[in-house]
Amino acid sequence: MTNGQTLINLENVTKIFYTDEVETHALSGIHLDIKRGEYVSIAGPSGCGKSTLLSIIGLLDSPTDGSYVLNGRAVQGLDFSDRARIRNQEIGFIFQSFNLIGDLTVYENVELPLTYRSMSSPERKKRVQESLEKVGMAHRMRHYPSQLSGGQQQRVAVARALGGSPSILLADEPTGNLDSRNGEAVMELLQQLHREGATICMVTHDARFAKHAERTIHLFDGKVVEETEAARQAEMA
Amino acid sequence: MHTFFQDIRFGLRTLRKAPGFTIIAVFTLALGIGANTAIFSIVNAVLLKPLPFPEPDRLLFMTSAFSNQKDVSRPFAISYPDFLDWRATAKSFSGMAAYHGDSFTLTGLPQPLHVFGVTATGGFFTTVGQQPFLGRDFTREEEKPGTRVVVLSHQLWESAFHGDRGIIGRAIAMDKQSYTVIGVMPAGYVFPMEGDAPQLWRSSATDAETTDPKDTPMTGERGAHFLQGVARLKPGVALESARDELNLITRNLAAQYPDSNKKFPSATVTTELEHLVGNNRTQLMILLVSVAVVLFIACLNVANLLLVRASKRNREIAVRAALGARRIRVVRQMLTESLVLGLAGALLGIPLAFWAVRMFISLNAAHMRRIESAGLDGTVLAFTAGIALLTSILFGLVPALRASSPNLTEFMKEGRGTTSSASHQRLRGVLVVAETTLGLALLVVAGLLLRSFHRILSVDPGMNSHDVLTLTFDLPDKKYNEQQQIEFYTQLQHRLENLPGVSSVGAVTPLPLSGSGAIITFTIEGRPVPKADEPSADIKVTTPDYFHTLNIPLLSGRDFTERDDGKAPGVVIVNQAFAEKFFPNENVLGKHITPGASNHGKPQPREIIGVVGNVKSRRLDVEDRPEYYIPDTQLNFGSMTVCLRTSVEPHSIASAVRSVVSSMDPDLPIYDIKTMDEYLAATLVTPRFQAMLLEAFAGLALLLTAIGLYGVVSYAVAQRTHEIGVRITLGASRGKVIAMVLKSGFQLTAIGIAAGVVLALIAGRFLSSLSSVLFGIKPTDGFTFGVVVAVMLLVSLLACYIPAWRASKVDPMIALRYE
Repeated sequence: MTNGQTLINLENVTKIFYTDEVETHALSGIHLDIKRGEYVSIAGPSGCGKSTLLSIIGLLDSPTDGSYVLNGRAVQGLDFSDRARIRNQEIGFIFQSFNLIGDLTVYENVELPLTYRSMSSPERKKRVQESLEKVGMAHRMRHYPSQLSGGQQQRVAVARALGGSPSILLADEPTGNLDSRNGEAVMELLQQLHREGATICMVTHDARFAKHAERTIHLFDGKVVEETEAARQAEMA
Repeated sequence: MHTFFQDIRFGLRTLRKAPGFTIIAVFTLALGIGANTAIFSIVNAVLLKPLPFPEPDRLLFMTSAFSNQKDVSRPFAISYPDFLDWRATAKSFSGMAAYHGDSFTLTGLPQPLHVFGVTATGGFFTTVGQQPFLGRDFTREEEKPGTRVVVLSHQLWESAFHGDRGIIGRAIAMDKQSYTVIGVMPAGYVFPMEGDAPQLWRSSATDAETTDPKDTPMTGERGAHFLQGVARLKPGVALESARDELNLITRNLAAQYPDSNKKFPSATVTTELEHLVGNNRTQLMILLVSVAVVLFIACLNVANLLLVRASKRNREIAVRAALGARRIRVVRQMLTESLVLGLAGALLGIPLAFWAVRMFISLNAAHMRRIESAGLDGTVLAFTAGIALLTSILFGLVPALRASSPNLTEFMKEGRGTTSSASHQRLRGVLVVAETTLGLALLVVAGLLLRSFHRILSVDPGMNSHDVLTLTFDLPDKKYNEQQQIEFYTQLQHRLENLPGVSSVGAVTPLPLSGSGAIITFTIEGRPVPKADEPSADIKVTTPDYFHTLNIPLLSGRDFTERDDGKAPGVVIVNQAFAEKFFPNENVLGKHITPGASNHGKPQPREIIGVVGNVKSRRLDVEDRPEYYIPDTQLNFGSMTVCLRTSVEPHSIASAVRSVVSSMDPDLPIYDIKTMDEYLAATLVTPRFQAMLLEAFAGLALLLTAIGLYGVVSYAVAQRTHEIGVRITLGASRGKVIAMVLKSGFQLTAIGIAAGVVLALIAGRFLSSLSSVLFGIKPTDGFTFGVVVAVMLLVSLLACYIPAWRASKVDPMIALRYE
């Protein structure tokens, strides 16, 4: 599925948190490449730095050191405003707890990131409808999140991530709040998106779901300790 | 624009989902915005609205300026000769006229009718800028003796003459003389605008006449100051240069006529609007600042609520930021929600303001000029919209800025975006401290004004105003000569004394506290001074028994008697302030003064036969002024006000009094039947109005401050539920928990009180620098400060106690499980 072009390149990325007089090394010397169209999962035990790495990849946080090139542009030193703009255009987020806004309808939730761009209302409407149709939720666009099941909410969250046609989808434990049936359905949806050409980076601690990715990065104590390809994963399974 | 409406829609939706927050925030803002709208509508009506005349900025009010030996200059009425010289010489004005208030009795109607009117010089209406609706203005020719012309008000024309358009050129009977109607003014025309609306204007010809050919008419008396002036500035001439010109002319007159004009070396020229409402400016500005403080406190309160709300919306904000919302976009979203709140507050505030304005008008009962026109017009509504917008930014910006930069790393880890809870709590504490500071300062200012008002109430007016009925009527000169007037009052006095419920009767002019006064110069026997340096004092003309009727104490000497008539030696009674000022350390009885007023011919020396106590003739909050009294039998000073001391409720005998007067002359209309207490109360309307409003605003500020403090402490307790649970688990008693929470609230209060005391000292110093604001009280009055601090502490204690009590009830099992 990859076309060989590097979409994300992290070189020697470190992240240190300072609290009072304590330094916490969340990430140390991370090297990571993600190619366009690739499906990568990041796995590891709790506290290993998975979410910190995803925050940096998603431009929610900046590395303490190292370089980060997204889609050919160095982004490690951008200010909050520029990071917000690139996040909006390049990245689609799928969160464990869905993070839909309860006071907005399904339609408005999906439309939300598009309102942060200079996009005309008809164009937004078209994209929202396409995204919702893609995840099979177009019939619920006037509902509020509280009126949907967990699986449906996560589908809406996926639609929201897709709406802006991002370069990469970042999924943080997308099945963590779902039962197994809904979890499988969401994973199937991500698979389908990947088959259609989407680049996906997913954080998970569940080996069952990690195997859906072409490649899995294993983190431990803030370092990449292993990388496994899909074929090997299947072997190991 | 589309996203703006989306933001509004979202704002409305979120507010609907939080009804408690919305109701409190909207109601808080409505109180603040409503109070500001109400006071602004009064400021607009009184100070800002232009006068209803063409080019009102060019309409000027003029008086002479009196300078005493201390070089203090104050506005003083103009004399006819001075006015005529101004008019003949000044080049800065396109028109100039003089006038004085008057009252007339119209006869020839089914009932004699007493009307308030004005005597004015030629060109009066042209100068003001309003021509009669029918007929014409007075000409200068009509200032000459023998002319009898009047202009009617629209209201009088309709009510007394049935709107007869043929009235022009017709004769009407007034004060037993025939006057020709030359004009009718349009409906709603009122000028001069101070005092009762005139119903009739008469040309000044009567002031150019005398009953005794040996006398000088008023138009020739340079020392008789009783006119006001109105002028219209020529286009292109600045007010300053017109003032300079008039001052130059006045200085020249003072040099030319030193005997009469030495003490009037300058003129006062202001816009008519400033003349009308200048005295209310300070009072209204104090009220406007006070309501602005209330609104600011309301904003701080809502900002506090929004901060709590922002804490609860961390996740939503973080999601927005994660999806690419820039900070400014989040701020805009939150400010739009604030705007929705502000507009809702304004919408609710408008009816509150409407109600408040009606109440203010009824409370003030027209003691503040132009207040009756206060209402919610376009200007006021634009102001309301403006402050709604301003307050939305004021209370929304800080919470929006604080909420717009969530910690996204925390969001990724915890599934919720967090802004620092500790820094939020600190900021909310700062807001409460600011509220306490402002609230305390406002309470102190209100307290000072209230104490000041109570000091005025406790001033001894120098007479017993209770159970005294007063009435006024005009005895026309043409029907009653001087002797007949004296006989009329004497006979009336005897008849009224025989009425049941009447214990004594006297008459006086001018009546104390009625707003009228007269000052006349005099000389002291054995102390010759140049005429220009003659002293002056307030004069009153009374009948015998006046002092007895008003319970004004006779300190030494004797009262007037009926033997002190026109043939007897001239006598005068002075008040204590007069004796102390002009005869310090001397026995004043038996001394002679010669007042510059007489019925005919040269003024005669008068023996001081008595000293009476000081009476507050003008207002209760001014120093005692020297006064002297002359019996009506020896000086005709126009119509007098009859005073009756009653042993029954004064108004209950009003009809009997009317019957007595009508039985003596059915053509005399009685007016101004009021008790002395009513006159006294009228002088207290303005300070009472101000003190009451400020008390209300300060009470509101206190309430809002208490709510703010309650909110902060409650939220802190909610945040510390786990910690409190642990403390209780470890053995902390309820008392300890309550004390801990109270302490945290009191720390904020203590800082606010300390800062508030400083601010109140500054505000008090400013108040004391303004004239006629504080009376008999220092701006640092310890009692006021002490009571206000105690009240603030008590209210804070109450505000903190409820969350403290709730904290002490925390179930440790639930609190620990919750965490």
